[in-house]
Parts: sequence; structure tokens; C-alpha cells
Amino acid sequence: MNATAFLGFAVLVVIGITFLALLLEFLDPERPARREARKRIPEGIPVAGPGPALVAAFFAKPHERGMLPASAGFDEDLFAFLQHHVKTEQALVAEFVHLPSIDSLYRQARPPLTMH
Amino acid sequence: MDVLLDRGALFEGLNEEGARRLSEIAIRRTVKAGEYLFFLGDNADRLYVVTSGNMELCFPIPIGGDVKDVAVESVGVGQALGWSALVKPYRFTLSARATRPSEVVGFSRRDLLDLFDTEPAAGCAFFTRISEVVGLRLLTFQAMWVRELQRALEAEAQRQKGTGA
Repeated sequence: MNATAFLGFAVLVVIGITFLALLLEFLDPERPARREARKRIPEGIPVAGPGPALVAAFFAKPHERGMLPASAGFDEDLFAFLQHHVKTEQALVAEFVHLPSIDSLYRQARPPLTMH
Repeated sequence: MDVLLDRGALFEGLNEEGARRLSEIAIRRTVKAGEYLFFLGDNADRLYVVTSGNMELCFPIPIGGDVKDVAVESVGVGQALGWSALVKPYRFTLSARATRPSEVVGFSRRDLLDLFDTEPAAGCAFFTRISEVVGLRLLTFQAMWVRELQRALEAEAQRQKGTGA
């Protein structure tokens, strides 16, 4: 096989591999989800933002501040805490929505019952 | 379609012809559990009504490069979601996903407005109900925001008291 033919064959192989790689990337079922996730991280929000400990502290009652772990990652526990907080707050403001008053606006959650 | 035309639902007051036209403009869609119907920021040109299953509305919170969707409202059978399709700038302000296999019926803004042009009484009832849905969302979030503001101010006041500032 002369040099030209060999070179041509090598170029064909490279093109074929490149095409295959592109095709596999295109057919990747996770691609739309990754693209969507990239779109949904808003621009301008710094990756190293306020920090999850600060976020958790914001939702804590004043007397509880300082008791949260120093470095809480945005893990499932924190997410569950956030979700629970949102649901609790919605339940607490439900009365205000139907009967607005200062009392119903600042209604606090009852502490859990304890057995003695 | 019976779910949509039940007494007290969005399309109360439609006569037979109106109900027939409503069926014609309805687009059914199946949504798998965990699948999103629309995302916050998407172009909103269609109002949806849940006909089976359950949807939840959520907003994304980005933390450290990771984005989590926090559920803020549950939408059950007969209830509407996507009223942003009727309110400028016609962009969804929350994301919607199915909590279990669900079916929704979508109505485009243009088709609805055309229908209510010829059925003004039904249109009036429809927009009255939509305004109730919108008002409920506004009041809920307004109250939640004021409560968080109060907590933040109280914490700051205690901090200042503690530092003697």
C-alpha cells in the first residue's frame, strides 16, 4: 500500500471515529437533562454563593441560630428541612389568606406534644 | 371533559355549544411521575387543567452550583395551573411536575379568548375563578415573605442588642 493510500485510510478512520463520538453524544439520553440543568442555573449567581449554612440559618428561629452545623452541604437533609419549612409556613398562612389579621399573619407553629 | 364542566369548576356556565367547542380546543397530555410539564421562564401560551393524578408547582433554588426544585403548591384533579398564559408577560413563574402519573388538558390562550368572545357569561365566570386562583397565590406568598422579613429583622435586632451596636 503506498503512502497516499495509507494516509487516506488514516484520515477516514479519524473522521469515522469523530462521527461515532458525535453520534453517541447526540444519542445520550442524559443530554437533554444536562442541557436543561445548565440552562436552569441562573447566570450571575456565583457558584460559591452565600453557603448552605447561611441559608439554613436564615430559616432558623432566632433563638436557634448558632446551633446549626458549621458546614451543612445542600444535601437531602437540608432539602427535606427546606421543603418541610415551606409546607409548614403555607399551613400557617392559610388562615391569614382567608381571614387577614395581624394575629393570623404572625401565627406561630405549636410546639410538638411531649409525653411525660 | 366531565371533570372540566363540573359545577364550580373553571368552565361553569358553558352551554352545549360552548362545551362542544371547549372539547375541540382541548389538547390532552399525559405526564409521567417526576416529568415536568413546563419550567419557570418558559413561554406560557397554554392554561392546563388536571384531569387525573396530581401536579406540583415548584421554584428552583440554586445552592453551590446545584439546583433543587422546592414544591410550593399541589394541584389536584379539576384544578388549573399555568394561569401565566393569561397574564403578561406570558412566561411561567414556577415549574410544574407530576407527583404521580397524571393527565392534563391544555387550552391555548388564543383559543380560550376566541371561545369567550362568543360566550361572554362563561368568560366572566372563568376569569372570576382565575382571579381567585391568582389572588390566593399572591396572598400566600405575600404572607410567607412578610413572615421571613419579620424573622430576619428580629434576628438582626437581637444581634445588635447582643453586640451593643
